[in-house]
Amino acid sequence: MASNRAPPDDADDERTEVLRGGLLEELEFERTEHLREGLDEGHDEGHHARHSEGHLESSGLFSLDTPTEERPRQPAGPHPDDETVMSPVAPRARPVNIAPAAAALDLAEPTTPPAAAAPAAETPWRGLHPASLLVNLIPRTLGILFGYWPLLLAWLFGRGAVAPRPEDALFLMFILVPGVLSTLVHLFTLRYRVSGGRLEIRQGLLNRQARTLAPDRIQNVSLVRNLFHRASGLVEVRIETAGDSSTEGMLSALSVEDAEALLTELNAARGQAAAAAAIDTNAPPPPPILRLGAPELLAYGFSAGGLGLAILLMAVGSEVLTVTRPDEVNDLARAASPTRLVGLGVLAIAASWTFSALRALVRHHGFTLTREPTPKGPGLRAVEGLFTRREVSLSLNKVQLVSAVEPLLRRLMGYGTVSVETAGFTAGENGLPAAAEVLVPMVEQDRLGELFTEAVPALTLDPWRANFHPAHPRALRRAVMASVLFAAPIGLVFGIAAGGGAASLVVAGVTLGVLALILVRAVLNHRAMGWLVTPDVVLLRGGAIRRSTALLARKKLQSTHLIQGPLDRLHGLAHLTINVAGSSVRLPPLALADAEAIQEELLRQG
Amino acid sequence: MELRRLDPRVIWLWRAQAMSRMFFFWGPLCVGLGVLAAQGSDWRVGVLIGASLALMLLVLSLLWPALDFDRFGFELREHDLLVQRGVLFRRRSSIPLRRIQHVDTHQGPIERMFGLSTVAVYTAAGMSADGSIPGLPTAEAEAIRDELARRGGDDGV
Repeated sequence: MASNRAPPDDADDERTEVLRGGLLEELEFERTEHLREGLDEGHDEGHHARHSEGHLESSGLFSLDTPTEERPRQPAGPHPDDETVMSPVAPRARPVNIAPAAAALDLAEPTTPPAAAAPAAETPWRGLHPASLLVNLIPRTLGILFGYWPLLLAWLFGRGAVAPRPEDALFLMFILVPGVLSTLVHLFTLRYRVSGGRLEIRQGLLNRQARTLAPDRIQNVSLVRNLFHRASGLVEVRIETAGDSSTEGMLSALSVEDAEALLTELNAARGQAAAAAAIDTNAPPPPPILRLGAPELLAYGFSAGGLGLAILLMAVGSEVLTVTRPDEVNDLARAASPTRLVGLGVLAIAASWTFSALRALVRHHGFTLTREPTPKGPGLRAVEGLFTRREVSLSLNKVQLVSAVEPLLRRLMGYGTVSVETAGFTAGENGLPAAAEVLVPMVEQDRLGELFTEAVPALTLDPWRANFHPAHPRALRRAVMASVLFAAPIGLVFGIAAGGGAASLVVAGVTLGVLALILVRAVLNHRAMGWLVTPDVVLLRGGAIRRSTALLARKKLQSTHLIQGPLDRLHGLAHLTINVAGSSVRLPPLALADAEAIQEELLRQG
Repeated sequence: MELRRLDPRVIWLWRAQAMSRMFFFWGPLCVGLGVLAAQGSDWRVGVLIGASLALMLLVLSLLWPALDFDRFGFELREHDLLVQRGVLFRRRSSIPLRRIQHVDTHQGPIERMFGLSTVAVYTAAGMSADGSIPGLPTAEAEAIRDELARRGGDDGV
């Protein structure tokens, strides 16, 4: 601790902070002191002294993030404060040993700009809101515990009547401590500012990091407010740039005013050149493109509930039951009949539907999509969430891929789901990467095309009314052949394993049935496939049961790959894959010459 | 269209690389499978299975590089870098020059013995190289790298 303490003489800012804090502390202290008046007057001085000392100690944490202020003292000879630290490793008399130490320090923070004499007019660094400690610790701890639910479940039910042991507490600590530590480090070490038109972020205790984000490179900005944030008037700001697999600019959390000030500054920096005037702050907010109500969201969750979730629920339920009531499970197993099993399955599916419907309602509550002008042109903004409120805004010229999926159930309801992707990475519900930056859960079929145009204005036709080019006719034969080549050996192996006779006949029948299904699916999929290349965009369609449509602007194209497997070669076909930043799409099988021509054509205006 | 070819030495480079993989990975695997097959049956069966697997892989790792070389071609065209390769799965990649993020050349220990280098081309599309040209004489690789780096541009992100 002492080694990191900022020497008072070159950390004026720190000192004022300490002084201010010390004064406040003293005021409070005096109030309590009044109550204790007459009890022990003699200790007054000592108390004050210890208090301000304590503050100096804690302010040492703050000084960690200011290497520019700290570093000049390294070569400048040992400071009285340093003596205790330096002497065991490098005696004062031999400054030679200090140089490697300084070099090591340089290595440890290669991104830190050299310690130049700071100009007086430099933008001051700002920190996170102190209250964010509590606001982050509680939900994160819960989140971590929730993430380990199988372990906790095993812990709670796994040993039956045995009482919790101290080792278990240790184990829990092991899980929780890293998360708590990283929250603390994030809060105490993070400093940010907008300087010279760029966002600079410094953070880290052991591995210090200095990031500079150019506003031009920002892919999207999300504001997240969970219940705790909302109660305390804070907001988590997530700024995404392209490429990295994490959120580059994570500020958790700022007060709403600070966040607004930061975004305004960033916008100003982004549009310095021309378009700053494009935003008319006095204009009334544009009407929303889309707003979703509870019935639509329930329907969305209902049509998203999968079989997988049902199986998971059933497995967890049976596990808990087996451990807590082993006898009853045995009875149940004895009483099992096909009817009851089917009933149980239906129950599990119903439960999973309910669960995912409720989840959708909570997550997407009040979903509103609006147009939002940004300094770099038009943009989109989505707001959603019942407890945790999320707000994502992105500029349209950062949009890489727009896609729509219409799973059977949702399509029968007359809806589809649209996602708009930029090159950035977005943290999903549990910090897992989620591909779509803006996900519009339920869009009426008639409006899907409109939404596509909203995200990619270069699109001049409605993909749901346009005529797509079909896949090559020979592609059907190829698909059937691939399926048969895959299924037939499996059937043959099972047939031989069945050992002839009636069993083999059954296997043969099942194999034929599966082949028939494959055939039907191949035909349906083949008819569903389509593609379209216009001067500005590439459109793709596929999937008979779960229909999907994808759109990318040709100016976003990164590279194209023509791929031809052995079966394709047999039929003279080829697949063309188009990569954009963060995603890729694949055209249906085409004749080799056509695919080559499209590859060249895409290059010409890409 | 006639594309530029790799240095023919690359065939022997690839063979050497295949041999090192054979030595460190496939060889032990064949031995292991042989031992496994010998369990509970005649030891000669194990030897037969292990040896025939190893022989098959050996022949393949000698033949394949020649086929791969035959199929490999690249061309630095006006607007893109074209890389074509693949024996079973043929791949023809077109990387628009202005989308190139960065280019690097690298050289492994075996490549160094042959005096060959690999040029790897990256775009904003993904983590791995979108196009890579192995088996170029080091000077040529460096010339291509510099040419590509010079002509790279707007990333389109």
